[in-house]
Amino acid sequence: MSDTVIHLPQTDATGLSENWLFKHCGEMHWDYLCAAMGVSGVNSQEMRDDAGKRLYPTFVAIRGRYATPLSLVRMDQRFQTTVELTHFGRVFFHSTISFGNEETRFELEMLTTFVARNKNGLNDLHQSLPSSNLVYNSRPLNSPPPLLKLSQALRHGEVMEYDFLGYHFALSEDALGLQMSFEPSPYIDYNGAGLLYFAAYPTIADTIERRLIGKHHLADAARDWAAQSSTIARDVFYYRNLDLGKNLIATLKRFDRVGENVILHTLLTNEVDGAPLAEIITAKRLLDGSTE
Amino acid sequence: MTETEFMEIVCEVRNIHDPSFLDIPLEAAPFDSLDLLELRASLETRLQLPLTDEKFNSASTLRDLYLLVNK
Repeated sequence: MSDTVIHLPQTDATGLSENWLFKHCGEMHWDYLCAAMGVSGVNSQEMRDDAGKRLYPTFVAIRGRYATPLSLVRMDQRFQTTVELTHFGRVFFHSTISFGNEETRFELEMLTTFVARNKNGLNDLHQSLPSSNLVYNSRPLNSPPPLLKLSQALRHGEVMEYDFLGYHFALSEDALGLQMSFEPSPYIDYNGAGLLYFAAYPTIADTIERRLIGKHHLADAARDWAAQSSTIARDVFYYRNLDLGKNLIATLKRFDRVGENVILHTLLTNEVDGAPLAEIITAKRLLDGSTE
Repeated sequence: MTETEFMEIVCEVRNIHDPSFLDIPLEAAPFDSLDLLELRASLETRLQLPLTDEKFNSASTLRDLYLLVNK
């Protein structure tokens, strides 16, 4: 368990920064994963495959459920982080990370596997696993985690109706079809391994959704979308990475008002070949002062 | 492990009941790279032993993989 006090680095203009929360929980996931390897854990430098190539975690999916909107988090609040880590075979690590206090609780479910790089400088990656002589000390799963099966069904286009917080909709339907091209920033969206960072995907979706919502007057035009809404749930399914300097296309497929929430569905694709990069489904709570 | 038991695991991963898939090249089979990783994890879990990258990556069909895990 670890303690965090909310200061400026943990926040953005809307409250608790979800980008920071993803990075924090991602690091906890990786730290626990390394600690669960071998006799007394391994460090990141020692995390190599049988061929001696350095391994990086790659996210398959993340599910975030927030008991209260992230905007309600205030400076100087204290939070505690707890991590439960399991593995499926030697291939997948699944964690449930809870970031909470007496007032609220943000829970992230994270599913990762491993990749190694084929060629320096390019996102030319192949799936690989830690050396087969390493023992895993986390709790083993006897069957695949449900998030893995959901990711599979999405990749193969086998999900006809998606259930998000009890709201059902057709994932394939492009109700809005609003698109925007975007080049992720080398300074904030990529990591030191030269990969588009997993925490950047939802932030990029938020950024482009806000622009499209403003441009097409989908919400109260008198207030910034970022100020009139706050995230309460997020599902992210990761399909591919994007080379530095390349553009992606974000397609806002859905913007549905459901009670006091808005459900958004955004697909990120590679601008060059149209290959899907990620699917992001978000619930945002409309905050006081919002109008229909 | 019998071929039937192996195919049961394959079916759990991808819900494919056609035994002819055993001999289709993996790149032509309806598995993506994550499906193959799930199959690897399922086999490791069922067999209670790790499959090395070398062993797993040398299979070009599901039958190859079936023969490898039985070696």
